[in-house]
Amino acid sequence: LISHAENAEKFIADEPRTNWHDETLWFVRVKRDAAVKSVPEWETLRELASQIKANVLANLDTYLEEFERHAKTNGVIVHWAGNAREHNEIIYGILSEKGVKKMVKSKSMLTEECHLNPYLEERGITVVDTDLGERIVQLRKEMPSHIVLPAVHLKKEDIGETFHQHLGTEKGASDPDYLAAAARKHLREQFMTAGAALTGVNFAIAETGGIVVCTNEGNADLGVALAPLHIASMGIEKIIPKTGHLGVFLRLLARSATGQPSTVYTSHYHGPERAKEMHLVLVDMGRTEQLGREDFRKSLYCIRCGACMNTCPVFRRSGGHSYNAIVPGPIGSILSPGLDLKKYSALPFASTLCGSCTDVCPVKIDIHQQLYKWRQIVAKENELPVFNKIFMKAMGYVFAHPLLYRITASAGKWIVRITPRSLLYSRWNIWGKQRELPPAPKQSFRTWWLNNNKQ
Amino acid sequence: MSAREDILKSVRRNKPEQSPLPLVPEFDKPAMDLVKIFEDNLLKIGGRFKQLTNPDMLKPFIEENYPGLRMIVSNVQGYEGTHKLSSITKAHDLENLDLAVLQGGTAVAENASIWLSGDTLPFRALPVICQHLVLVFNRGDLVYNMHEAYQKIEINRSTYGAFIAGPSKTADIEQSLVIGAHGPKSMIAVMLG
Repeated sequence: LISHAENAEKFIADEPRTNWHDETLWFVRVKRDAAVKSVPEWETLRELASQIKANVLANLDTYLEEFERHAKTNGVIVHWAGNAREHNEIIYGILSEKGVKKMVKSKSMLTEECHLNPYLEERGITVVDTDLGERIVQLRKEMPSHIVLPAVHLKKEDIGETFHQHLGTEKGASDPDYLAAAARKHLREQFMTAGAALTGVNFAIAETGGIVVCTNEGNADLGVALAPLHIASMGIEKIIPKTGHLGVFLRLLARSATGQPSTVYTSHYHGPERAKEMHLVLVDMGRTEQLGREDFRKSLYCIRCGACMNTCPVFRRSGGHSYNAIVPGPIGSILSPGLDLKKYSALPFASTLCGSCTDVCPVKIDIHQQLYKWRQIVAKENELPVFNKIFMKAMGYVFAHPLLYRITASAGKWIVRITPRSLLYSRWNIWGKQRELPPAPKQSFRTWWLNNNKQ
Repeated sequence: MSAREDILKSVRRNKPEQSPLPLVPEFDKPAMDLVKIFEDNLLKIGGRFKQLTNPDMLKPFIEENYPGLRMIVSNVQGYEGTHKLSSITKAHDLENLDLAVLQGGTAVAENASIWLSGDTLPFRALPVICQHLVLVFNRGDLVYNMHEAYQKIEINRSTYGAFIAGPSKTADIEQSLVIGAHGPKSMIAVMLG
């Protein structure tokens, strides 16, 4: 089990690159701020979005039934999947029945969570990710490092090399226009020959049974428009009650994500194009369990804008891959422990608890509060690393016994003074890895207090 | 069937207490001219704006701006393009479409997006497979924000409908903006009236 801190250590070994990554994401945060300032009612919109989501969770069962009823009336074939295995089996079932050999896929974090691509590839179906960033990481056999900017960890030279190997672009070429044009040509061929198109879902409207998909590149639209089969995968929390609520969420989403007033394409699907077929897979994948956790259910409000990642001082300086989770960053660190506490026990600690994530969240998720609460659970469930566990226990004991505390504190003062640096900053002093210990004071606060009160 | 029942049962067991659905109020609009706001926002997202007072001016405008294009289709009244839409039998035949001139509905000033309703499109591929796109809308259909837009449009009038804001784009390579990702490489919004 590799912790976030260990992965981050590898990431920050390259300091100029770390700084570049940090600045790149901060640039997106600044764009977000400018976009937000252009909307005087921003805070009202956030509050509305948060209240709508609270209502959705309180009535999720009836909204899901209403949505399903309308979707079926619209001619959509609706499936339900409790977990990743069921989700993948359903999709494979649809594809194999139609004899599909190649599927184009636009961005869908859910299918990443379900590890759909390897599942289908093993069964002889080629999956082509069509979002440029996702195609780049797919060719490199990597995971997306960010939910909105999947290749934000890569330099254009890295991408140039990948395209040279896979798409035959010129060796050493790294001009973004040139590389994007090569990807456009390559992916056009995929769109023209795909037997199915899979999309994610940004919003599902209960009262109409339709779904909304947002992209900038037009890859979802082109995929669906050309393939005879459209499959949409959605987490059950993507439901919103009414059409009118789209106005609230769409005004928040793109501004929070990239600082754009809107994505280029905001596409509404209410059934298949004539003579085609549309399937919809509603997926639980741990969401109903999270719904039952009072302290953490608000994490299901998330609309996947990525603003919390762009603002997070830890994410910006450790990179998305260091979290080793499909959804990284602050929101991922409160979602992932709910899926597998053991595997993701380090993530709630990958934060300074500064609260910047909570401040920018367009649906007002109390992210830093939840990070703090997950830490309590990690400790209670005995998932802290051994050293931290023993250290915390010992500290707790010392703090609970005043005399012992006084002895330890005064001993500590001398230890800091006389211990050689090599010993003081040994590998056991994790805190001292990148920091200097403060100089030991001449007298303790207690001594000072006692002296002062005497006079 | 069992997954459906399991999920719904689990939701019922775990869902929180009732929470009322808020009413979305009407928000104030800026005092500025809506056309100016639309135009400014469109320029920022890489589109171009043209106001034509008379629909007859559309044809010469297209001919002047897109000379020599081999394949142009249109669903806008009064302009036919080079190929009749009725002559196209399947979406894949649009592979070499140079320009689509399409009739939009409601236009939104705050984000320069224009609503396209699927019932006006013989193929959903039209606005996204073309190399260049012209969207036409009427001045009377311009609103300020998305709330007003959703009051005007009927999202399920057809199986497909989309707000389109500018040309397709990507910033996936080092956050460098590249216009023309998978869809059109240029986009002009033409306002009639």
